[in-house]
Amino acid sequence: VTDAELVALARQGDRQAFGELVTRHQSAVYRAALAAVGSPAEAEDAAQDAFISAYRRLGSFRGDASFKTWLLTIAWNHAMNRRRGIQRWLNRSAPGGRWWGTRDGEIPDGTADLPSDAPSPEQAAADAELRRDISHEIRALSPKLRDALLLAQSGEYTYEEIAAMLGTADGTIKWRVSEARRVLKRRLRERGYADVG
Amino acid sequence: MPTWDDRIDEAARRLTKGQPRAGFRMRVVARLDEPVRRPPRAWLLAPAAVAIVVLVLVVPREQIDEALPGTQRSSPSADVPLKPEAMTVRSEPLDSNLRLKPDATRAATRTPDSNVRLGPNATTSAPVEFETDLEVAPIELVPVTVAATVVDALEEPPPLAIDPLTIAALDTLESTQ
Repeated sequence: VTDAELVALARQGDRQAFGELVTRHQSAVYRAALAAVGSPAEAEDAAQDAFISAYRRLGSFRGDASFKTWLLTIAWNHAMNRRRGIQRWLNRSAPGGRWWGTRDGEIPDGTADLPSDAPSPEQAAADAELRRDISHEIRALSPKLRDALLLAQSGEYTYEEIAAMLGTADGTIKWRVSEARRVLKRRLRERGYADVG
Repeated sequence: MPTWDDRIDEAARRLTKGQPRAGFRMRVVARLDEPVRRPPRAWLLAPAAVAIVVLVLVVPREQIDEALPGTQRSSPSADVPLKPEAMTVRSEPLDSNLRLKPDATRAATRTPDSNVRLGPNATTSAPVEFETDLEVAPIELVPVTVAATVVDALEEPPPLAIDPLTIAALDTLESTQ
């Protein structure tokens, strides 16, 4: 059954059909929201709101783009609203605070995922520290560069889908991803990683 | 050996790694019947607020009073014809016995005094007829003649004397430094 057929059924009030659409796209919607807000709990709330909103707006879906692209655009807008709300709250409670910089404890250090042929515990610790530093610098990027990099590297979306979500051109997304990498490498060199190319 | 781009991409992938909690679909479907919450929209509230401010600032207080019930005023109407003398201005000093003719813009709820005779069915909120035997002479305007003003020409100011400026030559060594 295609998305279009499920959408047609859902428009007639078939909740099971809409539930199937949720199952198919929940991962893509959730990861987009996570890229936007940086918190699993907030991302899930935003994802739920996005699906509810999409269900209510099924009548306005014309099929010009794929259902997934349409849904992701709704999800991204919901996540952005949530991010702005969080940032406003943060500005009031802790002026100068940065939302994406507040979840160091939630970032996995990656030591458990190291291959079994890792050379030594010292090398494993160094790799884990490097991952933490890269993650820290990613969170410190400007929102435009960070959004593009995270969405592109999540593996869930094409450049066309990211462009539709962010409301810009494919080429702009590619440039932002490339620029994000360039900025990250410069900052890593400043952190003392001399061999960054 | 991974490249730096690979390391960056891997770190970015980790930041968006994850799935919603189990039961996500069920929670979404359960919320489909939620009533739509429509917060007040700022773009609707803003014009309303502006309209209220304009109403308070622009509309004169008297007009607001007239618009409100229970603040009836004795305004000019077909029941109370204005007398032409009421608009004339006196040219003589007023004496203590003088009484002005009723002013159409004054409220009729004032306390009647002994010089005012009310009609048999008159109430304080009804239009009141004032009577007086005072005659008021109209003003006679006398034309004013103003003599022409003659202004003498200004004297020519003395010429300005300015000393010529003398500029000393710069030391070559200083100027190059």
